[in-house]
Formats: sequence, C-alpha cells, structure tokens
Amino acid sequence: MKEYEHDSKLTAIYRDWFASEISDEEIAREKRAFIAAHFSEAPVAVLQPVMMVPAMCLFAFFAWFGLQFMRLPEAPHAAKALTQDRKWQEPAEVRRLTSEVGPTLVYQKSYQEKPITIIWVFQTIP
Amino acid sequence: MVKDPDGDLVRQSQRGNKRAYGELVNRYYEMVYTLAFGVLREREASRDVAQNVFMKVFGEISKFQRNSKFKTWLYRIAVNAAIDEGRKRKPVISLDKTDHADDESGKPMDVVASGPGPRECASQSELREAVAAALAEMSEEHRAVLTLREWQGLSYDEIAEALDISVGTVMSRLFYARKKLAEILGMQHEEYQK
Repeated sequence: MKEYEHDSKLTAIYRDWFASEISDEEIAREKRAFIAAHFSEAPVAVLQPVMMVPAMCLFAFFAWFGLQFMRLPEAPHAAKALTQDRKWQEPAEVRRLTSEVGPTLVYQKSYQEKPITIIWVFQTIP
Repeated sequence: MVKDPDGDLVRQSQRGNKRAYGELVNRYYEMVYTLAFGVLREREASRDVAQNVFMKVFGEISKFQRNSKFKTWLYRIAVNAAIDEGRKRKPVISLDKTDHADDESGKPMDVVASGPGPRECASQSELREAVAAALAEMSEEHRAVLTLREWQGLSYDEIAEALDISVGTVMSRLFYARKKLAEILGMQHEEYQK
C-alpha cells in the first residue's frame, strides 16, 4: 500500500511536469498545419496557384488574338476598290454617316495609354 | 492478421489515399509528439521527430504486413526515431547496469541522492526543475519507458511490444527511472534501498 502511494506520488509529479512543459493548443495547431500541408486532398492541378497564372495568361492571349479577327473584318469589295484604285480630285460631300457595332464591345479602361485608331472609309454616293 | 481499429484507414492509406492517412495522423499525432517529447524534452525537436515519423510511415505503409496493430507499429517507429535523435544530441549512456531484471532484486544501484527533498522544493517551478534534472540523468530508453507508462498509461505488455523488448526489461527500466526520479526529488523509499 505504501509502495503504491509512493509510486502514485511519483507519477503525479511526473505528469505535472509533463503537462507544464507541453502546450495542447500548440500541438493541435501544428497537427492541423501538418495535415493540411501533406495529407489533405490535392486540388485539381489547374486550380493550383502555380498553374493559374500561366493558364490565365494563355487565356488572355487567345482572347486577344480572337478579338483581332472579330474587330477587323475583311473590307467589302466596294471599299477596297475605293481605297486602292480611286484618287479623289475634289472634297467629298458627306451626307450620311452610319456605324456598326460588331458582336463584341471592347471596353478600354485607359484611353491615354493606348489610343484607339479609327479608320473611316467614305463612299461617294452617285 | 490482427484485428485493428485502424484497419480500414490503413488499407486505404496503402492504396495511396492521403486523406485516409491524414485521419491516422489526426488520431496519433499527440501520441507520437508526447512520446518524442518525453525522450527529448524539447518542443521543436519533438515536433520535427513526430512529423518525420509520419512522413516516413506514409512512405513505408505499403510494407506494413498488418501482423500487429498499426498503433503498435507506429509506436515502435516513433520510439526508435526519438531515441536516435536523442543519441545524436548527447553521448551514449550504457544500459548494462539497468537492463537486466536481476538488478531489481540484486545488488543496489550506486546512485547518490543529491537533489533537494520535497519540503525544500518550495515552489512548483523548483519541483519541475528537479524533475527535469532527474530526467536529464536518464538515458533515452529510460525516458521512453517512463513516458509510455506514466504519461501514456501503457501496460507493461504494451510497452514491451512497442519497444520490442521483454516485460522484464520494461520493469527494470521503469524501476531505475522511478528510482532516479525519487532520488533527485529526495523521496526515499525502502523499495529502492534493497
């Protein structure tokens, strides 16, 4: 009985020392971080930040490339004839101006940085 | 094959399921960490050992034959890793005098009680310092047994299985560790005077 009490006392002293030296919160925090870093389900590769940047750049390039074709349609035959063959001798009289907006409207945030060049094609009306 | 409460998670982990292994880490992180701390007595080193053990076990889990419980297998790897780390940090202490069961009933161990008695340990901090001093005088193997028994509450059989040693050696190491602790704390008891 005396021996048991002695061992219990030693156990209590040891456990008290142990509890005072470790921090349950710290261990739990380290555990969570460790599991999250190594043993959580891996996200789809393309959604990882390291893949997102090049993917977005590629997307932006193709979007820009596609827009070039949409914004610069081939000039109609009449317009070609006017711009290439005819030389104007006298000022043209503009009676009517029309404008067409294509399927894509491009919003340019900073006009100063990259001005939009607009080419007007005039056609004489007989 | 042994019936193991972790069997399903182990099988999934062996198939490379990281989430399943993460659940095993969640279950046993504290156990491995506190075991390492009991041996090394340093938080940072204990964290490193615990995390290295879990990385190593994940790498080798396909080799686990399930002849024992996963927990026992993990204990064995963790104890060895903590002891190895402890040995790197200080010179080796021979276990020759203490590993044999004869020592318990045979000749007394030549250890001098040098620490202050309980009455002299006025404050808790002094008592903790005395415990730390006693632990510093023990080998890694003795601290491991003490931690497994006194902190984690394992039976002699479980400790013997985890450390792959005999129950007699477990009892011998535990006896020595308690005696050392009692001496440093000035807690004399006739059991240790034999």
